[in-house]
Amino acid sequence: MSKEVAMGIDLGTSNSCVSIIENGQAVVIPNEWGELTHASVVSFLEDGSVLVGNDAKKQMCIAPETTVASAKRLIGRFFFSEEVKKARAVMPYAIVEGPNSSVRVAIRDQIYAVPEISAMVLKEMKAITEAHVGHPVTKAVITVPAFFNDNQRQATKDAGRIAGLDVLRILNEPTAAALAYGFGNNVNQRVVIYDLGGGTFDVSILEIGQDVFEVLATAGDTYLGGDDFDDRVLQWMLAAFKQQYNVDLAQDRYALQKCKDAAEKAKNTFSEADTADIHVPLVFTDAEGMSYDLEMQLTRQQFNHMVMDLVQRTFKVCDEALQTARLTAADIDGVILVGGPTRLPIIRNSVRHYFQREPNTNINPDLVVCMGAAIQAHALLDSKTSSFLLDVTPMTLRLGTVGGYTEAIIDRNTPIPIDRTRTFTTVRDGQDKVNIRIYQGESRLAKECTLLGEFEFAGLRPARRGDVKVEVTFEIDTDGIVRVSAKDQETGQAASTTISLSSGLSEAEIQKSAERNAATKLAEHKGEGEGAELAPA
Amino acid sequence: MADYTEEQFWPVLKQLAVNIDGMDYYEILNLPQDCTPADIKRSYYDQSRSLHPDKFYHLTDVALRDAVNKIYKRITEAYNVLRDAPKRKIYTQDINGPQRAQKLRYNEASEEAQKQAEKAEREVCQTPKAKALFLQAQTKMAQNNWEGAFKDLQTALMFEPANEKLKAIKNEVDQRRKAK
Repeated sequence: MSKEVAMGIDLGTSNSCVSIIENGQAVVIPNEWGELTHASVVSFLEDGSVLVGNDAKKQMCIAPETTVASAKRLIGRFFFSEEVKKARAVMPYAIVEGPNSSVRVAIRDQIYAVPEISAMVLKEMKAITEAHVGHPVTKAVITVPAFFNDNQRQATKDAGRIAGLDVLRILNEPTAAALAYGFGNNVNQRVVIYDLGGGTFDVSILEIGQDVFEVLATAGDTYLGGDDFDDRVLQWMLAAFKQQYNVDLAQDRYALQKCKDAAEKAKNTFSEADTADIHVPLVFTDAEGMSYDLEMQLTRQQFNHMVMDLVQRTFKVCDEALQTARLTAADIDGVILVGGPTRLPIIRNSVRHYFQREPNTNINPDLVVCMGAAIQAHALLDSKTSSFLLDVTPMTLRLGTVGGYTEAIIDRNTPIPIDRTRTFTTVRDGQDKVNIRIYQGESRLAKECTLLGEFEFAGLRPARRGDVKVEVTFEIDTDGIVRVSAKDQETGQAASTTISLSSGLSEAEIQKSAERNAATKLAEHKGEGEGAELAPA
Repeated sequence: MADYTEEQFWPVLKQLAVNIDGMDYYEILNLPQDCTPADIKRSYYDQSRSLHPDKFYHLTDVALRDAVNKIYKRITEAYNVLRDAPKRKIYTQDINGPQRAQKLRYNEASEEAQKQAEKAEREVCQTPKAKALFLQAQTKMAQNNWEGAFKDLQTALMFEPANEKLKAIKNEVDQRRKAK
């Protein structure tokens, strides 16, 4: 038997975790302190080392400018996107513009691409695994929200490579969860995965027949997550404090962070209790040196009222997924809840009501995704693969046409891997290259879709216009990542392809980032071959 | 079921990757043209079990993996077209027509034909209520739910009792329903 180990990594917006297969079971690996989930927070320390995880989260108050949280909200996005604008307004660290409208994070005198930040979290997951198994581990399956577009998937894969990982697969989170639950049955079952994470919401409907997991439809909202629930509580706290003391705590980043933590804690309280006491000591000091505490009480009913519209938004997405699968809630044989926020009673009750059945929560909703990823990682290592994932592409792949319009090439919810070929003809005599732009989205208007890139196919043979026919193949691979290639239809000669517009990193940048990542020490870990002393926290 | 990851099958798979360009979707899924939607799904699942690229992931022969990837992408494509009743209808006509060789893969021309056909089908009914019911019936037909489709068509006829086209479709569905 091979001793090879492959990790399943759930790279979350708020928390990440890692799992491997041990004795045929998916086991979530604890760190040295026994923690199973680790905050996806990266804090750059003075000594050049990097602190990742729950201790890094504590740094958000102490060193807000050098501590990066929620990088997943920025990954694979353009600098001008709404999400990035929003993050720039609320995040205390510096988000700056890089080449090609990409997003960069500035820490002291260093500039980091977003995948480099995520790569630090992955490096930590790798270190946790290696400490557990006692030897180097590089192979990994990394999960992403099903509704991630190509830019986001590619950037996540780049993060893996920067962290020195051999990324076996980019796997959709809901699909991973279904895999962890198994369902080894002779009867085909239809299962809904309701996945509310820290920053994203996904719904996937699967038909599971024995060992085949077929995704019938997927829908999602990459702008909706548990963080938005926290934010509602936070806004309420700030407004109430302002009313009481006429002080805007939002102006003070330190106070704001304290309040954010308290809001999150209050929200979590409602998983068990009916009221939450919110207490932030010494949140504000006035000009005379008088300190004030923030002291409030929030009832579950008030909370439910605050977040009702967010909850309803998730069911609009469920409607859409069911409609695409041509099913109704009554056709569903099971519902699986994934993600920490699904612990909230308002979510559980609403899901129960919508699907008219008790949701399945046998596996910890925080860990189920990484366990599924570990199962898939293990399966890819040998031929005795016992489960097959038949996934779909979440968004329509489109080709830019004249006048700012697009046309569909591969529809959303098409099973993958798949390819489609289109033929283009030269429009000028002696034309030696063809440019195409590709997009993802559901609108005919290019400006309402996400640009994936501009490709240039050069080296066409000189001929009269209309004589050269270029066959362009659009492929979506098993990672859900788009590849484009072109060849001369008559001669079969492949055209050289260059991507001239893309939010991603070049090969050289990835290599350079990988070197920087490898040279960065993780704090609070035993240094490689340096004995047992810990770096200062 | 044969385990195609065994080396003895590799030449077969590499040859199949070439031959597949000359096969229609039914041949790829190894099904007769009058197969049911359930047959299509079953075949897709079976082919996934034996030919999914994940099964070959650990092998180092790149040419073999490319071959399997090409074959499997075509299997997915076949399933994606044949599971969709309107697409399947156009496609089946195409491959039995004179230009078979150019129409083995569903393309833009097929898509255009489908749009026209859908438009014509939508025009079966004139009143909004009958139109909606007819659309509903079509979805049920695609799911093999003849009983449900029959009921919808019957109700649609109440709004347009003189619609001969609709009557003909209802009768056809009625036969299918009874055959079951």
